[in-house]
Amino acid sequence: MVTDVVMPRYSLTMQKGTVAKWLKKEGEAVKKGEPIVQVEADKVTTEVESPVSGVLLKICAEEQTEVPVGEPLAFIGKPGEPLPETWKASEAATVQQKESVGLASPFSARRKPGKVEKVRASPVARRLAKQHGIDLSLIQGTGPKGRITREDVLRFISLHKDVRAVRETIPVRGMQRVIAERMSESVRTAAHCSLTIEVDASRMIALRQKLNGEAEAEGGIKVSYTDILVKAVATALKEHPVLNSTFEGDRLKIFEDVNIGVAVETVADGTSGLLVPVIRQVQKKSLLEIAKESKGLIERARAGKASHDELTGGTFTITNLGMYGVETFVPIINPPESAILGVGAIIERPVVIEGKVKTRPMMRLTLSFDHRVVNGAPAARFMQRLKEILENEL
Amino acid sequence: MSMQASKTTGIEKETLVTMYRKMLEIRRFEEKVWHLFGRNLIPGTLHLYIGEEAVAVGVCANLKIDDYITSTHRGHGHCIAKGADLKKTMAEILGKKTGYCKGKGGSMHVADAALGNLGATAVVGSAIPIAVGAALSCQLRGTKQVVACFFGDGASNNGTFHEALNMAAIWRLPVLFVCENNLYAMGTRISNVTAIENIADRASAYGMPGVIVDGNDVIEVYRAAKEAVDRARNGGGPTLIECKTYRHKGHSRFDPAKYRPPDEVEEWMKKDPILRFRNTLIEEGVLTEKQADEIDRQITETVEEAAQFAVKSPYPQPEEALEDVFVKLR
Amino acid sequence: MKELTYVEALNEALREEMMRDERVFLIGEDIGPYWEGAFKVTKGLAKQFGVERVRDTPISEACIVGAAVGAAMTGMRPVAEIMFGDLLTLAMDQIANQAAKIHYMFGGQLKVPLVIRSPFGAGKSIAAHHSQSLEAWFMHTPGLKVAVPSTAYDAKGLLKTAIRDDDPVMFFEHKLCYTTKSMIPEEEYLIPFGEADVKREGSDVTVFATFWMVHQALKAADKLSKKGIEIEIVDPRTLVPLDKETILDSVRKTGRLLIVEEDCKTCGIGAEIAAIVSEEAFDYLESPIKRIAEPDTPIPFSPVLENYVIPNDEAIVKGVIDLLES
Repeated sequence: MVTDVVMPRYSLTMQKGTVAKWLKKEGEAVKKGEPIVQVEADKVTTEVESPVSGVLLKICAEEQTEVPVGEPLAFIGKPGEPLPETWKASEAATVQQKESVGLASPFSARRKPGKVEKVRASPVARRLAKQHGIDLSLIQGTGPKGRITREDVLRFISLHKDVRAVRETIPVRGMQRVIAERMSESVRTAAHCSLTIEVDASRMIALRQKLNGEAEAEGGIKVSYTDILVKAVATALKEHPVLNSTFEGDRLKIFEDVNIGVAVETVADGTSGLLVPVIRQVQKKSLLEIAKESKGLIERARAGKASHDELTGGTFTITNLGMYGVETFVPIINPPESAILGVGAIIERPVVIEGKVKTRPMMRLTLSFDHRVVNGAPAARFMQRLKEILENEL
Repeated sequence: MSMQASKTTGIEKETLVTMYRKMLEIRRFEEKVWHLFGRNLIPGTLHLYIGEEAVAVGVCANLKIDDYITSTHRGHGHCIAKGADLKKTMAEILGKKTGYCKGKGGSMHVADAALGNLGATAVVGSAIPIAVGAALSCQLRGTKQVVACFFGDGASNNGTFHEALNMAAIWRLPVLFVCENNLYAMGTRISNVTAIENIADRASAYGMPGVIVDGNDVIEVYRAAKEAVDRARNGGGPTLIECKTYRHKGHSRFDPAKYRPPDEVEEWMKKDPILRFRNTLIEEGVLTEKQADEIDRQITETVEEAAQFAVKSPYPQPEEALEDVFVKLR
Repeated sequence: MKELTYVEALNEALREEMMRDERVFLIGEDIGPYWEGAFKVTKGLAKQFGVERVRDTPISEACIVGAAVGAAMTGMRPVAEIMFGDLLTLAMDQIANQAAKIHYMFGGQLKVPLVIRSPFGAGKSIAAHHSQSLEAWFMHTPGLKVAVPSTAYDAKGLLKTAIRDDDPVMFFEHKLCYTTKSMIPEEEYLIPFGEADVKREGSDVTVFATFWMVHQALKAADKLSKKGIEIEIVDPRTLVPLDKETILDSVRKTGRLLIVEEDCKTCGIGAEIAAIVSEEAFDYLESPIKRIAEPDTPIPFSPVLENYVIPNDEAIVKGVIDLLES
């Protein structure tokens, strides 16, 4: 019996995945439980295992092809066994093609391998389109039998002319594609509102120095400003739970546990990426526990080894760009969460204390919140409380 | 045998010894080739000249270095008789870069342009018109050169033979048509495919002298060729010389030649041209037994050196297959 | 400048080369003082250079070519005439096995600076044994160069080059081109082998043509121009060596190729040209390559039948329009 291996669903939101790399070739024997293909979905690369032992009869999707969840990736069976009649290569390919037309920018150099060419175009038109990264399916052919000619491609280019010289064209897929979809969804749907507050970071600095001094002496874990903020934010959120929530259609879900996501830059193949590993149940954890857990999470995220669970389930997000000297920025809410905190750099600033100008290490925090579900005053009170904790209660 | 009329009278001793040496060179060379072929050192096929040495040597002894010959698939003897370097000949037969044709020709296509050997062609009869052209060239250039065109009894039934002999005769070209009639065209006996007994009889049809000689008697061949060469050089036109001879081996490679009656073979073996010539030279006091043996020893050594040279020589680089298609393409 | 026919231009080339180089001699049937060539190409030459150098032969095509090969190998520069291209079959061993292979087979020791002149082409109602166009056979034989002049100007310049070339050259002429005329310079000129000539420039379709088909294509070009279609006519002038670049450059410009060939379609010269273009300029094509050729039949006698099989200007006009619409 032939068994199909389908694109698995790794999250509720996942609709399709990209085949990253085939680990087995057609005709190769596979054992049950043996990884056969790497799939990239929702920012994570996962290995798909063979459900049975047998021979890899057919690979249905080449590398770098997107496959909808539930669609076959491969068939496994005995050598020579016929594939199920319900599966036809052309149909699968057509689905993809239609989708790509809707989503892709017209200038996308990517050609889908294995795609059945339905577009009639002359060889010269194909070459020009490839050179300019144009999807031929977007061009109306005027040649005999509707064939796309060189003239058609040149006309298309002049209509979509971009005077900027293109250095390279990078297909947006995988992680960045998910980021693109999520961020635009967030800006499109959430009623973004933001508040900035300035905090005296003297105590944060002192606390960090003290803990890190001890850590150095004892070989313990070092603590970052973000760790301290995670702890302080968790404390403030327990007192202002409306911000520890997700907005899902017609209801606001307020969570018991404080699961704080920390935005982390990842670099793969020289390309910057963004992941948000989640520290769960922060309210129950000490600063040192947080520090230890976040260190491991960040490392795994950067290595591309964070599990699906570690990257989902957040209730609030912190993003810190202070290390780049950024003073203030307004972050975009990580949907479906209700709020996100943007952390700026600690900078020595003149402040008036008891009538005298003094310099203090100051840090600006900006909260972006979804005004559809959180109003200004509660948000401001959360920030006020956070400032209090950071300045007086550490 | 009567001793009153010496067979070699009028031929210089040096010429006689040179002919003996050349015949023996061909014999020992061919025996070595056969040996190397048996050891799988020679690709393709082979057509040995053993038994016919008197023809090539008797003719070529009358030629100058700038006279031309054309040769056949059974051509090693013609090359050596015209003075070819044994090393370069052997290397070519082994397909080596150091061969006459850099490994592009092989056993059936040895040429030596510097010695006037215009090359061996392996399409039976194809070199006869080329010999006519070379003779026309000699006539047009007024050089007094002559051409000896070797071919077999089989070729005499090809159209080119008739076209060429006719053309050479009408223009009185300086060419010798030397037919090596070894009685068999591959396995076909000449009497089965030719209604006349002597191929030389055809000469009269084209208006040129036709001569029949014992092709296993080098002195007879020499004398006939001398007359023809002299006539050709002096503007007297072509001659057809038919040399009746016999190959000791089969047509090619492993042909056991079972189509030949054993008593016929035995008869011809008794007429071995080298044995006969050696006996004549000793009988007539040109060489002593000892001198004849010494010549054989020297030649065996020289042939061995040629074989060693060929075996040790490198093969051509594969890409050399692409060279020499044109003198210059553009 | 003077206006000469193709035959006169060939005659002038032979005369000039025979005057220049005494190694050059002519050999063939009825080329001497009595007939002066079936098409009069050798007119007056026997009188001027003598019957030794303008040599009538028996009807022995194999030996005419064989003798020319032997003479070429030994220091002469023969120009052999085979009265009709169809008769080359009789000399095929000497051409394909000897002349073509001697330089190679003997490792470059010997060369064969030989020219074989012979006319091809149908259109004179002389039927199946006097009308063929067989140039593809010789293109298919490594070691031979193949010249195919379409005009008097090209014929003269190419024949002089052929005679000076050190390799065997199959110099083909065309019976219908013999009476065409060109302006010929007074001063000497040679046309190098392997340089195609663009007989007319145009931007819409490249038309590859040789011999009489060049003239047909030029007629077609005038008709097409009135319809606003401009064809570019590429005449290779020599098939070996072949000027691929000029053909490819033209196809890269127009994106369309029509091959017009006066030989039968199967394995004709057009098949080779089409293969080269699809291998090397595929990415520049706007439409499939099209061939107009003779059907795979012998050339028939009756003019009605003969005209039916030979491509003409009307066929080219139709072919170009089909190509633009296909």
